[in-house]
Amino acid sequence: MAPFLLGAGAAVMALAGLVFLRMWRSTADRFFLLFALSFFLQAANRGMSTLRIDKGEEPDSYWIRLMAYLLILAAIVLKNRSARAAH
Amino acid sequence: MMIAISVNALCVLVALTCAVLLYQGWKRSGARLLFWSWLCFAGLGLANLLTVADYMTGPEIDLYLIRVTIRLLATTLLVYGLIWEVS
Amino acid sequence: MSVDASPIPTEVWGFVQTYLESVVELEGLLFLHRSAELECTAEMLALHLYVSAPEAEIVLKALADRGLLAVKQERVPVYRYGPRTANLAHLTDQLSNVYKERLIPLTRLIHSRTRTAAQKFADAFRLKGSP
Repeated sequence: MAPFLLGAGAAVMALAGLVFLRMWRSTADRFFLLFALSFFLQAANRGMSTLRIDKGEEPDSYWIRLMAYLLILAAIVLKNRSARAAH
Repeated sequence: MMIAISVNALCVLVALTCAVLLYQGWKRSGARLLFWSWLCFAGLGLANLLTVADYMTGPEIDLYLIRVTIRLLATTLLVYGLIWEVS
Repeated sequence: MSVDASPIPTEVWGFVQTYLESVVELEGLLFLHRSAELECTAEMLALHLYVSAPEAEIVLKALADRGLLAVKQERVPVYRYGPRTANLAHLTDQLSNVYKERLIPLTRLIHSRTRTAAQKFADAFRLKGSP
């Protein structure tokens, strides 16, 4: 059960990443690139969990997750820096 | 283990921040994509919160499957929104 | 109404870019500007602009949030033209003149700026509130 859910999760995360990538191409806003990278990382994380049969408690798992969420945080920070500059 | 808890706690904060911002954005602009997006990030926040809970409770309580399922559902909502609402 | 080919004044251009997201917002703002002291609800604006009441509500609230309209909370929110600064008042006056004389370039400007769903997603993460 768990490997199936993880595999499906990885696929869905990767799909989200792909759509964000496309949004980056059409808006030229690097905000979306960062989101895409974040979701690809999360997909990879889930994929690796499938192979490891752990519960996401291995160190690699949470460092990767941390990086993924820091990317989102970075996207938000960068968006507001450029927003201030524009006005 | 403290590191794992802090990392996941940070993820909860980031995810819930995204959820709140997207919720407000949805109320402001009415864009359907934002509706599915805020639900997704709320779900991811919840999943990370349950991960923290999982670390803090003993081995009798295992929230692993619930967490994975919630994450999968949340991301599916996002992908649904991304694919159908982005022209 | 003449069709003037000369460019829209820079300050009006900037004002539109920063403060208006759609033609409905433009017309809503100018409607309230024209009507000076009129206290307007979403229902009233919806009738005048031929849009739905929820859409009018969104437009009015957005304009109020950006400091262009004053809002009073009665049974329903009631909006009035009320720019927060003298500069905004000046720009809206300018905008009104441009609208009378150069309608087509103005609407073209706004339409080219129609926010896609993707842009609205990114906009949601702006903490400052302007579009």
